[in-house]
Amino acid sequence: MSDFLIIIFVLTMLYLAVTGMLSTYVKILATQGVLLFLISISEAEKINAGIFLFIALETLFLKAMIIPWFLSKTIKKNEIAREIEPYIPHFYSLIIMSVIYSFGFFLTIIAISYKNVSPLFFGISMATILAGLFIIISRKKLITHLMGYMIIENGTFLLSLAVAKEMPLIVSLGVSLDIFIGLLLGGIFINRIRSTFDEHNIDALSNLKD
Amino acid sequence: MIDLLLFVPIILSILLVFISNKNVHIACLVLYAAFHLIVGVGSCFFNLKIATYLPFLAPYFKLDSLGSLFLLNISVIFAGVAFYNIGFLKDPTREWRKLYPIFLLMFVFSIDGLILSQNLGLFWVFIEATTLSSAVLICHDRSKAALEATWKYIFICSIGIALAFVGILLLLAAYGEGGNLFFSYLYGNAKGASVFWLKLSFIFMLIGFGTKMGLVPVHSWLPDAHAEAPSPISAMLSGALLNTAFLGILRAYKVLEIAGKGDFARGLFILMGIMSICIGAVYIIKVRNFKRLLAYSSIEHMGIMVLGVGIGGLGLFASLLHMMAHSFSKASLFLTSGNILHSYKTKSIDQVKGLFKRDYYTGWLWMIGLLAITAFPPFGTFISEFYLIKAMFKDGHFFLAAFVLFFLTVVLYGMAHAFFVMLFGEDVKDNLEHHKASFTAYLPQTVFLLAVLFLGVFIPKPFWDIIQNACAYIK
Repeated sequence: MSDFLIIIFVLTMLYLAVTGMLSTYVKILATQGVLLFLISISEAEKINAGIFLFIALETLFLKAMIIPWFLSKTIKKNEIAREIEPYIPHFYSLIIMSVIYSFGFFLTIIAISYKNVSPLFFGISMATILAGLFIIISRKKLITHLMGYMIIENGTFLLSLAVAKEMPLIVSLGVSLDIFIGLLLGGIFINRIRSTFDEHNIDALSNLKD
Repeated sequence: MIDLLLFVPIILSILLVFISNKNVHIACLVLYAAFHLIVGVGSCFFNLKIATYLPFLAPYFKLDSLGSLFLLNISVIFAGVAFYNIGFLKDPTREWRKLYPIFLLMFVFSIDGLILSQNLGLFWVFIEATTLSSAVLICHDRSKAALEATWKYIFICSIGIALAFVGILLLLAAYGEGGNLFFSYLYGNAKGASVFWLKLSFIFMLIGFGTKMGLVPVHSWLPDAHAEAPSPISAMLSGALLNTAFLGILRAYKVLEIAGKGDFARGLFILMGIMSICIGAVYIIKVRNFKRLLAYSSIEHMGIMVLGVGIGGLGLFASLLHMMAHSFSKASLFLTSGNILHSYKTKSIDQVKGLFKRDYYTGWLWMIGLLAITAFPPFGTFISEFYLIKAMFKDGHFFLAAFVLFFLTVVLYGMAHAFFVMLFGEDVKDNLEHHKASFTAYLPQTVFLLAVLFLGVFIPKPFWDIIQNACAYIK
């Protein structure tokens, strides 16, 4: 079951590479939140109320609702144009994304011979982290950088499902709190950059260099 | 005591949200810094017992022998910076924002939390908290450049720290079923851990914490953030924050050392150290902005520190000694650069002329700071770099030693050239009224420089023991 969900997760990432609309990015992030919820529910061996509450809070509430809402609010408030504005054409994006995920499956094959980690999760999460970095470096807008960061966080979440069954609740709470505050601060800074520079492309932010 | 260190800044900063009187803010900052200094110095030199009284916090927070060195470091730097802030915040020409003292307190709180935490996951939470709290401080001027620097800082450091989190998860994978992230568990069971995952996790953690520490090639945020932050904050970043990321690298390194894969880690340290020294030196010659110059010098010194750990043995001792000497001299230089910036209103090296004539005492601080940071004898930085070179010769790294010495000479040339341009020559704006700052703008730097000098001339026995204990903790 979870393998099937993981494949859907990969498909959302491939779709991300070809879509040109900012609002689709937000929808994909929300979908990934729901997918991560389903994956973690189907993976958990024994679910008690506390763990269930935490998983639901982090994935369904935070990743699938609050963060997409916050992102689309930031987009509306700053009147960011709907297009993505990539540096490279969508077709090449798709090819690079496919190469990244093929590499992910290759990592899966390597990881089979080492214990302690479910190989598919490991390979896909590594590929997702790479894909997030790729989204960040290949897109112009600051808001897409923030979304790339969220994709990296989704990748680490997958990895934490693969290995960390013993992570103390206090640590997990702190981790998701940090990520959330980071995103919030990022949004606030986008607002500020927009009002100071009157632009929201990364091009505006290239004054500091040697 | 740990409870006080953790809860007092939170309570103070919440209270300060509702108070807008500037003097109350300054008083809170200075009083807390004094308290922090007493705790830090007391725990190192006077056997002050640092423990927590709350049972549920007890497993998570403890001061170990490595942590006490870093606690001493942050205590002294924070005390100096808070004292400097009296004049800095009272300055009527500067816009007053109450977010500044509030987030400075939160910043110190998060650094304390990560020094004290005994769980790698919690360590991660606090290191991310340092990024978020210091971002607001870096953005203090609200200028275009400050915004750009802050955005880069939050973004690059958050991604770096996310990669460090991947490393932490892989570390859990190395330990298998029933593993947890308490350092006692990690060190106790490192021998049975899977070597493949350990190595992979170490690479991720080195990249992640290295981003925060400013190691090449993941250093790109550092010059921007250091140059655009207010000077006391630059001093905090260089003097305390970079070192705490080093603490994370050291703690991760110990796991590999116990598992018998220390060679692998040391090789990576030497590689990153050499790259940092090299890139730092090249840019020191090139830049014409004195705060960026200091920032690149920080990159170079971080390189020296990881290189010391990479050499091992005496090199480790040299590295920790260098950490203390560097943070005092760099904090002093950044505070002094604040005086220069205030008086000349420019960060460009070429527009600052005749510093000795305009502000005699600042000129001397800048001059002696130059001697301290470029490791002239008899300053503490000279002793630590001497030990480092000695360790290299002892282990037969002759080529490496020659390489490092060459780049240190390049750094000496680049920094001295820039500093002398600023110190001498005719003051271009003679008609400007003579700048007079209060003694708070000079005293902290003087104390820091005296401390570096003291470390070079005579290292007191208790301090020597603290560094030896910290080395013993890692080995």
